[in-house]
Amino acid sequence: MSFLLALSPDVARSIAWVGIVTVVFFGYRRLYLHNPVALLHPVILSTVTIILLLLLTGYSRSEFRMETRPIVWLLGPAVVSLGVPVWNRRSLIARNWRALGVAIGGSLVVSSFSLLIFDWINLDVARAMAVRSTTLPIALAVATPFGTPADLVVVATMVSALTGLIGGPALLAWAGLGRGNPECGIALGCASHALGTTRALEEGETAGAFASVAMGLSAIAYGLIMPIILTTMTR
Amino acid sequence: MPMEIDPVDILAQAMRQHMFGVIPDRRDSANGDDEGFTHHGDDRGRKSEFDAPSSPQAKIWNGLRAIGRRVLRDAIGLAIIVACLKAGTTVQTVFGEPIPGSILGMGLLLLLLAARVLPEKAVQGASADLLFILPALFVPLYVAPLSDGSFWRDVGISLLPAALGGAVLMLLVTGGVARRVVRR
Repeated sequence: MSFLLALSPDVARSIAWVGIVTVVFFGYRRLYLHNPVALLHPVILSTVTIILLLLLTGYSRSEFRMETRPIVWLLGPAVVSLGVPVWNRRSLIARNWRALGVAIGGSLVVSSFSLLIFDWINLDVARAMAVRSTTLPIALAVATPFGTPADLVVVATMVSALTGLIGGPALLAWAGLGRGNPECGIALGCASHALGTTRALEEGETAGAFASVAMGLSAIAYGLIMPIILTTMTR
Repeated sequence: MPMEIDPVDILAQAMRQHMFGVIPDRRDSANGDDEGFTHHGDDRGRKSEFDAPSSPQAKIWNGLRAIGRRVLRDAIGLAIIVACLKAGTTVQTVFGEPIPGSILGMGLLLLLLAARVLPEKAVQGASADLLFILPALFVPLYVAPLSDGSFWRDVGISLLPAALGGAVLMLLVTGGVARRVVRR
């Protein structure tokens, strides 16, 4: 650890946080591989662990935010790299373009309705609700230029993601949509993005493939269309 | 068979000579690439470039070589992906586009792949690794609002049921409309 002391304190703390998040996340991931219970998903357990760590040590939240920026920065390249599974599965997209198209169109319509309804209550909440069904980095990039607080966007997308992760397959099966089929994959990819896709992969190869293209295409659709909806459809 | 110059091989050979003073026989195989790599902790579908390692040294070497290859492959792939992202964000700032720079970057990457300017192999590994760690990247973002008491007092608590209902509605609507047109 002595090499950390040679660095500036900010950089050293950044490296330490990157290390803590990595160790905690991948430690819980090992646990999850042995006990695949959705509530024990590494994202949930690591978030709770780090919140407890911050609360118990009284560590400043704003400093934590600053020092974990290298991790958050990687979200940009991660969004760009979403293009690769979309490219790899271009024949699947070509064969199912109608199903994917109507699902993403449906998602945009539902989001627009949320925007209109919540606009009467609180515009910031309305914008956060409108972008909740796309992956977090896109949701942030689309909504924050309009002045929506990042925390609202994070919580709205997180609830969307966790709902799909924890209860998505059960809900879809209850609604008579079956399990592990293309439509379940599309629903999980559209509504619950990255975490929904990891859950769909557990349901099967087919659902996973559909979820990953639905998530990628929905990121593109939200990135291109949602800024226009947000400018035109608010009071 | 045409000779390919692979910087990893040259580096590997030099290190092998330096460390062990021997050069293991290279099997004449066309399966030396990293295709078929999966993230489930195994290397199914990947064939060793060497005959079954005879000594522990050779085993260690093979392991190190695989790690080195992967690190180099990811570094090149990540550099390409970051270059696309930078191009996207530059376009966004210059033209004041409302479209996020990362989406423009993704568009550029897709364009390069479609035009066959960029071989798929160049970015596949780095992309798979980035998407593998993607859920871990959310953790710091989730932590900040969740640990903020004033956020929950102000708006958070009213957002929670709305977002939950919205997520359920979204799952049912997208799954339902997809079911009507999905091709079996």
